Amino acid sequence: MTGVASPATSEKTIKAFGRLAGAVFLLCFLQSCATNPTDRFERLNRSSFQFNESLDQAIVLPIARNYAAVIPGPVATGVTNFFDNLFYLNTALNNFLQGKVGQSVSDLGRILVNTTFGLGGLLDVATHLRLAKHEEDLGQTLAVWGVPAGAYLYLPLAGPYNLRSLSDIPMRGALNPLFYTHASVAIPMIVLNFVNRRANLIERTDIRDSSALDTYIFTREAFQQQREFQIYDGAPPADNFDELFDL
Amino acid sequence: MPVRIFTKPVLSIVLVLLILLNAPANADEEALIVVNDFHATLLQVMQQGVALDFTARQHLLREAIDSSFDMQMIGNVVLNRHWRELTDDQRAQFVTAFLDLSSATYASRFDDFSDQVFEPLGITEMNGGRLMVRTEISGPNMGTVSLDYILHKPDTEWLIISAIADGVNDLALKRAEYTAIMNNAGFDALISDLQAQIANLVANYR
Repeated sequence: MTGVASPATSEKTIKAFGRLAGAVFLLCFLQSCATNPTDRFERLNRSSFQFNESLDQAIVLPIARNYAAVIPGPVATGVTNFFDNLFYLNTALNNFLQGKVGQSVSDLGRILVNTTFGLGGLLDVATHLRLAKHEEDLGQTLAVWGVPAGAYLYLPLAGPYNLRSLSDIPMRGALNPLFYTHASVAIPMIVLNFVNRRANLIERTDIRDSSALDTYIFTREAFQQQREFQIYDGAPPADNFDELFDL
Repeated sequence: MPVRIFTKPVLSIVLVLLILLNAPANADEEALIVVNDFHATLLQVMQQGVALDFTARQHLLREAIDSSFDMQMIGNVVLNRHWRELTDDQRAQFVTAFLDLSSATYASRFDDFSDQVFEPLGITEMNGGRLMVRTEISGPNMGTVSLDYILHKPDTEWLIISAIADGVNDLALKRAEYTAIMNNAGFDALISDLQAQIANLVANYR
């Protein structure tokens, strides 16, 4: 017996693995379907959620709480403004892709004004000049184009998504200036942005933790509803909630 | 003498006009008053801040929620098909626990005032005779949060049946959570979880 398999054996092994993987996937899929049709991968998602929550409680949240306690409010606002401005090209481009050309031009104006008069984005001068701030991404653009949301996914480290909004990850990355800078600059900036964003979310997660009986379900429902709210630019149709009252 | 002749009818007309002016002009206005009254209590609680202890704040808010919200309808929506299977006692038990949790949640969040303002934005008619009152709350340290309410009129007055903060509907959230617990563990487990959450809120309030 040798350590190298013959081509025929390899083919058989690959086929066997393929069948096994297919069977496991089908089993997981059917189990998930049986659990909850609106959350097909609930078991997997819950595992990722637990992982993220544990990491958050043990490391991220304590750092974010200390950051929020030490950093003065105006400085934290400046940091938020800076990163919002740095990543804002994604919003401008997606507004354009959704046919909202006026908003897209206004978004480019925001970047120009905040980068120059706003000291590199630290100050949000544009809002004072009535250039409204928008929140767009490729997931919303695809929704406007009629692409269905697809399954709910909760990713390790990244948090809640659906299949449609996954598309935003590569686009956001490609339009992120930090992606093109040296690691010695990019990594501290990414860490600062991460901690600052987590600090900005402390109040929301505190509310969730104080009122939710099942934080996983609360997070999932809140995410799905808020995505809908964003897709309709804050004005979803009034009949969106009719289903709730069909008793 | 001529003055006396005209006094009575003129007074009557003035009285009628005053009543008409004070009476709500239409459904929109009646619904808006319910929301404004609820916001007034929230503001009152926020402005008094730590001068009110947690229990006093919760008591004030509990009264406001009980009078502005249709708790029976909310129970029906949140528990969905399970509501029909509950006895009257169980329904009352759920409503009490839900009221306690809602008032404790509000009491823990609305405990300080930093120039926040509630502003009505408009009213939208919904299917089933319901109305959506759109408002927002803003303040120097918090930006702007959209806060909408869905109201219905089961009898003579408009009552809130759902609050929606930045597009997130509390009823939809709670329905997903509570029905999952009802399906997996039953009514007693749900009540026990609600009571544990209330105790947790009170204990962790700083």
